[in-house]
Amino acid sequence: MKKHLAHIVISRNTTMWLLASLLLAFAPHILRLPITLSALCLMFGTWRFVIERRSTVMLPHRILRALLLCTTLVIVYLHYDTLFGREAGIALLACMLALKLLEMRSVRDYMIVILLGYFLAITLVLDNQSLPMAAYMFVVAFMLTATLINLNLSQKNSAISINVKLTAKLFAQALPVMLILFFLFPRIPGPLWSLPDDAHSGTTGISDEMSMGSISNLSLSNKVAFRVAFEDEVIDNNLSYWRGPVLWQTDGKNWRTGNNAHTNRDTSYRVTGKPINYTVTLEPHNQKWLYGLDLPATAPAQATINRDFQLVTKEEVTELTRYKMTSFSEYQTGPLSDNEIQQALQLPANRNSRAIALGQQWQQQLKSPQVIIDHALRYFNQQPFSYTLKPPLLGNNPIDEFLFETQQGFCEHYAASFTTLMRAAGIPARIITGYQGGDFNPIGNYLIVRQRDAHAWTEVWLENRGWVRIDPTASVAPERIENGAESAFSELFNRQSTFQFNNSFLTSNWLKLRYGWDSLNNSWNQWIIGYDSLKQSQLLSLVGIQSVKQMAIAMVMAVITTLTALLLLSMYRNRQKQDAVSLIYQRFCQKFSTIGIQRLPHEGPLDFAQRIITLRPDIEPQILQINDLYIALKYRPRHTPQQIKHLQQRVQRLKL
Amino acid sequence: MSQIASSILTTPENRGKNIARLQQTLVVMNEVILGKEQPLRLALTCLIARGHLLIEDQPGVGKTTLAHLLARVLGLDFQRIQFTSDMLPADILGVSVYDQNSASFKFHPGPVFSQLVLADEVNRATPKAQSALLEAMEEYQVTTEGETHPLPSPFFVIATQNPSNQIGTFQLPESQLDRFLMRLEIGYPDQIHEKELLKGKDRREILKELDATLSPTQLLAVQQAAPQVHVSDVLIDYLQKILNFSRHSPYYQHGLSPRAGIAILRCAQVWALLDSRDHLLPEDIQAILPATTNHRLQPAAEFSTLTPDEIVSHLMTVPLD
Repeated sequence: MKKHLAHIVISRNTTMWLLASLLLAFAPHILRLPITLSALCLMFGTWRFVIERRSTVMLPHRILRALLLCTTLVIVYLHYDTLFGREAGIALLACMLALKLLEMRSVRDYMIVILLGYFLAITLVLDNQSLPMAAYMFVVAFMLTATLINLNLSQKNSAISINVKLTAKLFAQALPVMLILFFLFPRIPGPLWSLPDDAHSGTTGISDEMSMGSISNLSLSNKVAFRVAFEDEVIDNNLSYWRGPVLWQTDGKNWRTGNNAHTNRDTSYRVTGKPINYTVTLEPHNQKWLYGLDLPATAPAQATINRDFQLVTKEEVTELTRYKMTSFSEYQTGPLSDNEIQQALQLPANRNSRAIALGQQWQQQLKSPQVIIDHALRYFNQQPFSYTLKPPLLGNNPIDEFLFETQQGFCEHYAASFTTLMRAAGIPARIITGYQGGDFNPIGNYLIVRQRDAHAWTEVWLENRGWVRIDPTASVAPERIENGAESAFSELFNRQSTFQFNNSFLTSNWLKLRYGWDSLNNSWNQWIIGYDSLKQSQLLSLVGIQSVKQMAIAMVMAVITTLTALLLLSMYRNRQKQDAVSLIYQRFCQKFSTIGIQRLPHEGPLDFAQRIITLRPDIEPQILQINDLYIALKYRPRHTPQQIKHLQQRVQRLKL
Repeated sequence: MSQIASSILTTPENRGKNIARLQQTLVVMNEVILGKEQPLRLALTCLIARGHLLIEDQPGVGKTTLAHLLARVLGLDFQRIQFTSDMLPADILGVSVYDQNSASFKFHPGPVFSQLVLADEVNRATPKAQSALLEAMEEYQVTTEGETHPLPSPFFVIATQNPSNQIGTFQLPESQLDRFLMRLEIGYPDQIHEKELLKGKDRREILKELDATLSPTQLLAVQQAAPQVHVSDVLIDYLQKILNFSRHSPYYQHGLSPRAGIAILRCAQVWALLDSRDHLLPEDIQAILPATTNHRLQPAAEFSTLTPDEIVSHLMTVPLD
């Protein structure tokens, strides 16, 4: 069975192309896969590389290959507890592909490996559908196609330029097909088939639980949470509160949503001031809610507003979602139910006793809720509290430790402490999580809200005013609210662009570049990733197609038109290939067919000429001239282009 | 000899003269056999194309006269062999007889050792005698008793055959029919020409008075000029279409062989030469197509009632391009 590689007719060049393109397809997976599997795949690839370079090394024996296969399967199984699903599937595909390299001999093997390579490239988008990844996939697909061409041309010519040229040509030909399929292929709302459970894991964002440190972790991420395009003016940063889950219940350490999460909106609220209209493009975050500007007044089709004024959806947001919203920044909510009051004052008895004592003390001293709130905010402002992304770890009584010992915290520390103090002082309070602030992109004219803008704040319920937003973080680090997280932690975020303090010219250009890039990403998200059934029907209605049925008809028409056009084109080319002389003679014969004299398909030129002369003796000289020229051109060995011209002229001049 | 011939051919003037003589030959032939322009021209074409001719028709329509006429006008020596059912190969090829003077066997050439041989009523002889002639036709030599005797050059055989439905005939097998370049039917003369024939001199008398219009050298020159007639690629394509048609058509048991294709082309070139043309036209192919194919194509079982002409007519409808 052991075959020496020298016997293989496929050139070394092709194998090198293949290995390079496979490495390219595999590269983004290297860090995602467990280290053992990545190493295994790379090892198999290197093995093949060495075999290719040194003709003394041979392909592994069948039995060794079988052993390797079993080992790999076991390792994959140990890592994922299954061989199916997204992650395990990708790992299995990558490993099997790498193993296949060790038994790749015939052209058929190469073809299989290349096709699997395309497949591996497709798995890249399961994880990341951004513009750079699309560009990367394009490169991978290009390389694989070039390899495929190299494989088929290897016997004759393996010059890189030929491969690349041919690949480029193929891609150019495929482009219109791709565009037609992309824009016209009927889109169905929702996935076509059920995705594995882990299909959307790894998406980051705010969860419906909060503990000390959960948001500050998030704040290190530059990932975009959502983008907002305002219809009118952009709102001020200090009003830019994006409402997410509302947390009521606490055990002293963690905070959770309350009973209101699943009840309908209380309609007894009033809004004043100008409505703010905007469109949000939300990145998938795998949770059952959307974000809206405080206070959302309308719900998009896919969501409802619950009693907490949170936009909740039936399904997890697993795809890029775009929705239109109206909010009001000035509002007054209605009365609380008994249950709500009880929830909004709930505190665990056995934890954070010092903080509770402080709150109770304030209640006795100050009486009025408004005074207590002001006092508390002043307390945060005047005590040596600091705002930091790296707060010290807290123990079992986190609020006490934070308030009286460490005094270093992030927004969730302030929101949780403030809410605890208010509840202890008898004021109904709750924590709102979401995002605050965002960067305005002047190029795309929209607001970018990133994960680092994640925020938590407090709402207290006051008689006659309803729920009032109080942001204790603003008392400690007002710049966080005014200018966003980036300025509050400039030492963290601006490390990559420290020069911006020295050179304003570079800074502005750097910013322009960044905004331009984000704007491009936004368009990509809006038009390519976010191209769903709705967008498709909008696009099609522009060209007058209203229904999917019509679109199917349109597609069939498009296919038929394309095929007909291709057919006509090839016919036209064939006609051109047919020599000019025959074409002119055909025209000559056509002239006679209009007066009812048809040349028979088997009729030779002499016979035909004789026949038409007996029918039209008046034009005998012309006919004979034309016929002689035609015979000379078609059946005699040598002729000149001039003769063709003469023939053409005579046929043109012939009047019947 | 061939060197002289080719030197004659090199000058276009000589070439033109030779062709003019060839046409003159045809004119003379038409004066002897009246109203048979097409068969005469085909017969001449066949001989110029160095092929043997099979004439199949009723007795008395001028088969023998035609053979005589060709021999006279081309200046060839002529032998007639009357085939009978008791004929032996030696009667055709010749025999070796013991010569007492030289004390050895001496070969006495048979009637086949002649430039133009008329094999009359070839299908009346037994297959054994038939094959003796047919082998000589194919090999241009005779081998008897271990000795090989070349036949004279040029060597033509004109075989006549009675229609196969007559009594006492041995049908020539297909493989032997294929050795004839053409098969002709002469047919009855029309009214006008028959009248002229009846009123005019005896044809045999006229034949005796005829002189050769083409010398052997000139004949050779004309023969060598024929393959130089230009055949354009479109006509090769046309010929191939005809061959393919015969091979895939339901009318025929078997298609035309490559040999048949070569035969068609050779005859068509001579036909063009007789028109003083240096290039082939589709009409040339069509003109010689029935004569060159009607003995090679056998109708398929379901078309067995078709006459040879009807069979061949389908080939004529193959479109030019």
